[in-house]
Amino acid sequence: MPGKGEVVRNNIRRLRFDAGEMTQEQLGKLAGVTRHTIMAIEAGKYDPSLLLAFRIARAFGKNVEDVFIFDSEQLASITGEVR
Amino acid sequence: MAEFEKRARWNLCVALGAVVVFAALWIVTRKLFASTGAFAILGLSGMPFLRLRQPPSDERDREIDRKSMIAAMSLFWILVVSGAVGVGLALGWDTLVQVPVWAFSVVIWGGWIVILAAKSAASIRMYRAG
Repeated sequence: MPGKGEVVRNNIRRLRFDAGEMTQEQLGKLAGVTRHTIMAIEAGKYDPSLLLAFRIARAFGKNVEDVFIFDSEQLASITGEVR
Repeated sequence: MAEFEKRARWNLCVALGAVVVFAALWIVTRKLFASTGAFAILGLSGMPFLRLRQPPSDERDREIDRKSMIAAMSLFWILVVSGAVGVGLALGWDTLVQVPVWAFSVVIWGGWIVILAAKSAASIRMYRAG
């Protein structure tokens, strides 16, 4: 399930690094998902649900917007939307 | 590899294994009704459920499970409709046919194999894709 041409990007890799090289396994446990799901999200191949996005953000002590970035330009290039 | 991807691979092997053994028995015994015994292999698809500690599933696993089931049932439905219409068109809608009991068995098991194999293949593909 690719993330729609990566319309939603994320900073999970950097935030894990900033959190003392937190492993994907550790983040998965904090967010209540498997390491494979964290891997897929981090690679931009899976868009998490809103609830999971909040859980991941909370695991880092951040807001959702600090972790996930909505790329409107990318969305426009995919949909052909004129802004 | 995710636990549920392993399970999908196992189920695909079981489904394909049943087909291979069915074909092998048919070639060896030359009796189709005897070959239907090969479908007992499909019971192995229940093996992962025998584990005392089941692996936890998360939202991605559940989404892949749901989407792969839709894909499998869509394929199954296409085959059912094509088969039903195809038989009528090929043999004529008023034709009376005698069908041995093993044929029913093969059709039912075959349907289950299609669903199991298609669902497993779709799951594997989705896990690979992300």
